[in-house]
Amino acid sequence: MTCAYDIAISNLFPLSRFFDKAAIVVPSSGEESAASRISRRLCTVSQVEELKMLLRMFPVWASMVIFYAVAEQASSTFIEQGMVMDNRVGAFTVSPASLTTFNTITIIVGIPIWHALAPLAGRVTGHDQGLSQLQRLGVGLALSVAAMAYAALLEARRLAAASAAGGQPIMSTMWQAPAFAVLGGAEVFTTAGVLEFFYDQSQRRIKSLGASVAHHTIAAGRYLYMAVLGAVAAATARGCWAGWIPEDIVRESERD
Amino acid sequence: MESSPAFRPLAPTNLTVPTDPVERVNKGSFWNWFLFSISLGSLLSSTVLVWVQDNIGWGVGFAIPMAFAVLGLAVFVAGRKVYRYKKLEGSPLTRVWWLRLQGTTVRRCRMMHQPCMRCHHQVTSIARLGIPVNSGTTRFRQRNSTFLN
Repeated sequence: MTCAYDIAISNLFPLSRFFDKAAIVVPSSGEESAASRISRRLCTVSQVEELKMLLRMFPVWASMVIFYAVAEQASSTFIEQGMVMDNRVGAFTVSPASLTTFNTITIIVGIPIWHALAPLAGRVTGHDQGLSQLQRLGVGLALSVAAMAYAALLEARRLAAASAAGGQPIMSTMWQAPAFAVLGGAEVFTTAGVLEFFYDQSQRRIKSLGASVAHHTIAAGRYLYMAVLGAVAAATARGCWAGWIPEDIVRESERD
Repeated sequence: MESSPAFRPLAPTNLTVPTDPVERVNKGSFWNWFLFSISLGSLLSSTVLVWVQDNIGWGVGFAIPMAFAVLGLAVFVAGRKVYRYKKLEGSPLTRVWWLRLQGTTVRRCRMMHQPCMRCHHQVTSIARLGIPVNSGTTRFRQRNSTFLN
């Protein structure tokens, strides 16, 4: 006597007892037949375990939300920073938003490189994909930390240079290119990794839901970024001083 | 050039045999190349297409992505004999919400949790308390609709 979906009952998850109740038939005094009661109102044990599996992925979801909150800076605050830097490169004038192509180009170049290097990494870690799924997400998170550290140092240098030059943009926009590139490298690991993780770890019947949750990390990360930005700006504004994220960032910003 | 979110779960479903070594490698690299093609599409649309729109015209600028979308659809339909099809079983979201709802409305019952690897053992142990349990497929449900003592 076996289940069609053979999922082990788990009571390690803290809310196990709460969700397991959905699979218990409660004797009631209603007039419905037992069969109709079972089919309409109850959940099967498999379904309970599916939900528990989905909820167990919450820590990974949370850390990826943080990553995408950070990565969103490539589309917003980095560009603001680029707007007050010197955007002449040789004979061309580079618009600040064009620098996001460094992000995309790094992804396009990085994926074949990673594809070639993965077997070598696999010899070290023992995984056939090179890195385990969680290791891959960790590498992406570490790269995003490096990118943000570089951006903070760059902002400090830019502020010092701009103050010394009386408000004129001195540093070249191309100094931002490494930050974009490292974030692109981080996305090679995390974006593909998070899609793979949530799809792979979801139970067979809820794989589409798992893939949607992976996309949801991107959306939630962007909302979190907006909330953090608003909170920092509101919390640090005092009186007539605009705070850490003012309109005129050439001289006044403390965004680093 | 960019796939819509609706297509995304469909593609890896066709690579869901984790024990087959060839498919496992393919499945692992699927998401890499998925991200690659999305990024390539994004790069081309923000460079080549922008140039086309500025210098040739908006009509051509819209016609090119339309042509690629039609091409993508044609490739997708052409491969229909190769795909694995899954039986439709309703939305997983409704199941998740039903589960939460039932968790809050069923009164507390004492359950014996015995750790084991097959769910029917759990069902049997619960059923020994005289509590009937809904535990899976129709076949299983019929066998457990009576109390097992």
